[in-house]
Amino acid sequence: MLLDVKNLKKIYTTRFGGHNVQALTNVTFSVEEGEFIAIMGESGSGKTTLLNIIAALDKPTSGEVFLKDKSLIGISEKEISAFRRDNLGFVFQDFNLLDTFSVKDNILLPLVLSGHTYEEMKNSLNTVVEKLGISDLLEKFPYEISGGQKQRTAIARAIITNPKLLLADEPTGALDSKATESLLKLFKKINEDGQTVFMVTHSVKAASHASRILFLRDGAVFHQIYRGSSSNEEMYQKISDTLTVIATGGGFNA
Amino acid sequence: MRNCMYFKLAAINIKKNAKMYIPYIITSIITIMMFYIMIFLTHNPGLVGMKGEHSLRTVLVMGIYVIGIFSVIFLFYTNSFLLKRRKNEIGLYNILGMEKKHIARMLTIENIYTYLINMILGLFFGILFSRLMLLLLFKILKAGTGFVFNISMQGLYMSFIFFTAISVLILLNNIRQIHLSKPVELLKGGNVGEKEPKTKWLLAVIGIITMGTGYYLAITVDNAISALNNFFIAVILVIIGTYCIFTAFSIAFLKILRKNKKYYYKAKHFTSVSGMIYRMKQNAVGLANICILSTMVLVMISSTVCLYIGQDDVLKNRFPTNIEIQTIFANEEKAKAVSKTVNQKILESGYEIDAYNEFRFKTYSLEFDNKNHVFHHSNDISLSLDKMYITYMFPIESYNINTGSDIILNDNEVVIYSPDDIDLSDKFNINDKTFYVKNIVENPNFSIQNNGSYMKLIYIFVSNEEVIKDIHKDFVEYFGEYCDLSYLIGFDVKEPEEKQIELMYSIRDELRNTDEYKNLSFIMYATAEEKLDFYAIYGGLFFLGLFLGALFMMATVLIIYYKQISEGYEDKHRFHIMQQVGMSKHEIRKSIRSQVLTVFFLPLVTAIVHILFAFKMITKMLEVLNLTNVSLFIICTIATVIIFAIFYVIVYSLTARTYYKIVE
Repeated sequence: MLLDVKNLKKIYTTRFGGHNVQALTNVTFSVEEGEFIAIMGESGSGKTTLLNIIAALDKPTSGEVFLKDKSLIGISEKEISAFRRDNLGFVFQDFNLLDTFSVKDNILLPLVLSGHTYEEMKNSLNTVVEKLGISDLLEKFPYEISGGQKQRTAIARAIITNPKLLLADEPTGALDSKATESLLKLFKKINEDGQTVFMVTHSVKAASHASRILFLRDGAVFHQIYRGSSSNEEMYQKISDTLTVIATGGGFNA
Repeated sequence: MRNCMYFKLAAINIKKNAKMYIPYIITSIITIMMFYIMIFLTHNPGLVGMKGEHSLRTVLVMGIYVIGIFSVIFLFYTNSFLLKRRKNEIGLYNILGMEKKHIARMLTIENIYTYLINMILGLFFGILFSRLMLLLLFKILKAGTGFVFNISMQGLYMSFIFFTAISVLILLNNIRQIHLSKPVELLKGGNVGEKEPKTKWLLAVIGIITMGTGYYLAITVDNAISALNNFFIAVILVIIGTYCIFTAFSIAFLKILRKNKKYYYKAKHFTSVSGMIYRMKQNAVGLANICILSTMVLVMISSTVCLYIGQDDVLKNRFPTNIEIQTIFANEEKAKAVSKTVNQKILESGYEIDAYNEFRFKTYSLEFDNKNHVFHHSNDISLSLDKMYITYMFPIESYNINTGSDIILNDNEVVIYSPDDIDLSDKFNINDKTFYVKNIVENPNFSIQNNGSYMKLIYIFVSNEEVIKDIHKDFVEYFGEYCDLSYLIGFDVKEPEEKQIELMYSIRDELRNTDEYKNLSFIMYATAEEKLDFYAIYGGLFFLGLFLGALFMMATVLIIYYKQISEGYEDKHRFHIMQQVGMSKHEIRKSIRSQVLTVFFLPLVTAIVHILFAFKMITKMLEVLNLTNVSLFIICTIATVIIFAIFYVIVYSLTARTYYKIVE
């Protein structure tokens, strides 16, 4: 078991007055090594909150998160950054590349922070950029490259540390359909190489590449779909159906 | 109804951008206030008839010009900053359906609001503080209480015209910029400059060359005249150099650091170096401004404070006795008569006299040729200033009378006194006449300014007046035909200053009204009277130094503040990303702090380096103003630098708080 999420609950208190908003009511699930998980749900269903808690950027009100049997909840503020750096990779909708760094330096950032030597970095870098097909872009700066290229750079940055878990938040949200397609293939390829991927998405298309899809509604896991031997097209159909059910207010038993 | 909306919108906009508008408004108010006060002081009727009125007014008028020029530059600068930060908002209005003419109308109303606030409050505080400033000025000038307090109509009028004109120009400039730009550009306006800055090698090299030349000029200067001549050139060169080095050299240097892989790919340097490249690109001009302003503040305050503190020393040098009466080109007979008249008047007054001395002399500015030991006329004083001597020649009789000695000399023998080092050996020439040095004596304490000049000094005593006249024959071509000696009487009066002045006047009247002296011309003064003129210049400069120092300091603070804010908004985004990538808050804060500190203290450090290089040049220039007390100037400079640095740190910590508030 790579990731184990147990009874997560998160309540936000608004800044003025004691009005409470319950983002997560009770979330429990687990992820095996090598899985490609997609989380779906409407706006406000708690997807981002869940991701933030798993990324140790936010703390739950109650409940537990274990990554490889290590609890993320009790981890101290001092260790948390190093932990995040060594165990988690992040990919965001708006790429979050630093415009002060070249593509190469953006990718190397986590390694530099961990104190690797330049020789080590160069080896890791070559492997990653070849895999992502961005070898020609290394000396360019973020403002010089396309959205798809930026997202590849962001993925390279996320996986260069060989994280246990790759977290992706709407990775295709800012891309056109062509770039989306090639990016999803890339995710699939990375996943097939053994990387566990945990992706939050709105896009049925993106989710249809996953090996398992969790649906969140009102702060709880409402339903899940396993790929089994289904093709992408069949998955697409299943997801659409499920979303229709959610939207029309029907019920499944998760 | 529609118009009403614009007024409301304009008011809301100002309120919403208060963080940026309030400092701008405060600056404008202070600038207008200072401008008004300067005009008020210049035209204050209290100055009329004051001794030194003219010199003081010259100094104050200079102040008006400096403040005027400075306001234009500075208000345009701050306004451009405001507009840049607001482009995003204006673009949004544009996209939401406001046409450019509507935006222009809105901006106009905003500008009218700020204009009215600035003008009304500026003039109000101007009138309010003008009285205080007047008191301060009179206190500094050590003048009496004869000042007049009024509201200067001329000041109101001129400030009004001048700042209205600036406001209109600024508004036109804003409207022009809005009209020229596209909505999309406006939306991104706040974020331009994200490209990696290019290395401008040429500028970097120019910067090093100009700065180096400026420094070289400053440290190789060896006399007052060349200091005066080269100061302006050196200042211009160093200003150009500062801009180039901040904009181009800094980036070139950082890029070289980045090329060094072993250095660059270390957690400590990685984010700092790349962050600095961008910071330098965006802030270089602002930093260069801060640096130059700081240097100006430091130079101005340290030298004017030094002059002011040292003014009594200078006064003592310049006017060795309370009263001095000089008779130009009088033969021995006339001189004796004058002496008799003067002593008669002193006796009549019944005042007690001290340090009385009288002597006959002739004086020349001569160049001394060290190799051949020859004094001769100089063709170009500025070129050979360090070899120039103010040469006084006396008959030995004058020395004997004043010191009670009885030295007798042959016609080719001399006795020498000089406070400066001179290598005369045993004999020297004046033109082609040879003299043998019989003796070198101590200072005979004549009422002659014996230091505080930028030329060296030597007294040459010869056997009698005929020798001096003989020497003069060789100089007729340069110094005129009058071969008679001048005659000087100097003495202190142990009475209050008014009585000293009174005595001087009574002697003057007597000398002027005696028929016997009709053909003689006299130069006479009472120090008590002269020093007012003196205080007017030195005090006026001191006042101006403080006044402009305060103004420039305010400018520095404002630029620093704006710099912090604009950086804060940019760093906010970066800060967030770094946290996601796995940098802890602590690490980020450390990295940002080191960058902010570097950027912040770079101008101060550079300014101090400028001061160090300029030091020698400024000392030389102060010599022209009779100030030779170098150690006093060192103390003043160090004190000014320390006070300024403390002030700078305080400003830093205050603005840093705003910065961290934005970032976190």
